[in-house]
Amino acid sequence: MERSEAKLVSACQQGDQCAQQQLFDDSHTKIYRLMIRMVGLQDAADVTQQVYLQVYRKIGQFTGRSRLSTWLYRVAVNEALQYLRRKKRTFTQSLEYEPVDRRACHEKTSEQADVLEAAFAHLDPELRTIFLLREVEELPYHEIADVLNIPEGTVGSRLNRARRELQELLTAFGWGP
Amino acid sequence: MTMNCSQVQERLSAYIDNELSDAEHHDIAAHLQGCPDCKASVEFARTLSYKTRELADPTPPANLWARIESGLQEKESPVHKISSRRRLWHMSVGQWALAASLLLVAAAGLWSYHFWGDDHGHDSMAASFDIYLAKFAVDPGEAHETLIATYGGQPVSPDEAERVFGYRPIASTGALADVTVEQTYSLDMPCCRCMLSVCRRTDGTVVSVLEHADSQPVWFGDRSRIECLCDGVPTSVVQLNGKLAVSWQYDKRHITVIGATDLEEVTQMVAGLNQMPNG
Repeated sequence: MERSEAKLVSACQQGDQCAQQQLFDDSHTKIYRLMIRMVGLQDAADVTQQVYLQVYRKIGQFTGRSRLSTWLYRVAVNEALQYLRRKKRTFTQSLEYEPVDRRACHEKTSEQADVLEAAFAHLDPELRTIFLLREVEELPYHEIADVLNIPEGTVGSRLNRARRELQELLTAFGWGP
Repeated sequence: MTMNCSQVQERLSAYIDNELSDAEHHDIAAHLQGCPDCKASVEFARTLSYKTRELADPTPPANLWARIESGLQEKESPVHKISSRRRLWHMSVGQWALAASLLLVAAAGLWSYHFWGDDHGHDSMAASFDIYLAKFAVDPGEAHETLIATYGGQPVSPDEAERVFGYRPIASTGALADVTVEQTYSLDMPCCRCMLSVCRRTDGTVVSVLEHADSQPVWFGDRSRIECLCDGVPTSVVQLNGKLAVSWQYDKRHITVIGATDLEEVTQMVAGLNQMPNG
């Protein structure tokens, strides 16, 4: 851990509000961006808020064995996945299954970016996470493995699956690169 | 080494992401020269990568830090005084569930055997409400489920509520504008029997109304409280992650609303009740 980072963490651990704000200023753009793609624009701010409240609660457990940014991603990913699980539970309890013709559903979507966002939303959250950590956050495999607490060898195979499923979804949505 | 399609497909992501050794990278590159299918997969993945990185990044809301700071102050205020309560904030979801189960057991024991004294009952209730208020800010549905399970909540119709409590739920009287009652419950709490109405606004957000015989300051725990006048009525207000929990006296009962949007909405609620025939 770099000296400045160690000082920042130590100050946060002591509840220093300036340090807490510094940590937020340094990292929130990336965390918010990840949350938008993980939980959607509508809920991204609320989940990001929960992420940082969780970060400040748990910062005492940060030992410096991984990079601070890796640890932040780990907290953020866990919070987003928990949020999606809760949301899914509520959703499946209140709605009955209604078959949807995906192609018809997206016929009117002309923008490639919109179609791509829609495909992310349909992708399994665990696969979405790994894909975003690689393609949006541009993390190397060893760091992704550290964030998700999985063997490094598993990262490649999960990314293969994520890319394959995205290809299927995008084809179903009529996406042409 | 010559690789077949299956071996290449297994390493496709690692190849695209430059995570292979030079030798493996070279072997795959050689395979792609003569395999249009694998080459098409690589090209699609690269286009996908390019298009994903091209996506616009919306700017975070300007008030995000202010919201977090407010959440920090709300949680860190005088809570230190009770170490067991402070630990509640640090619990994982599994621990929350366990705590809820333990509270359920404690509450069942309390009512079955009348074993605990008032102080224990109030501590247990304060802890339950601490969990309820914290949960409400994140997931009102789950917060209600926990509270109802903890205090043996029974669904009641407005007529049944009137028979049991001597008054109808205020949310079913039309006194609260733009709010529809989803379900009213009777809760057996250590302090009293209490009526809980889970309501929804026209915009889909949830607000809950508790009606009870006595003032229950213990419900808000050690959270910072603001005392103000809403439509001339003394009202206690507590902030909850961007929402409000408020309590005031109406006639012979006390009303506690969880999830109010702002003081303007609270004032409208108090005024709506004041305009009722017995208000």
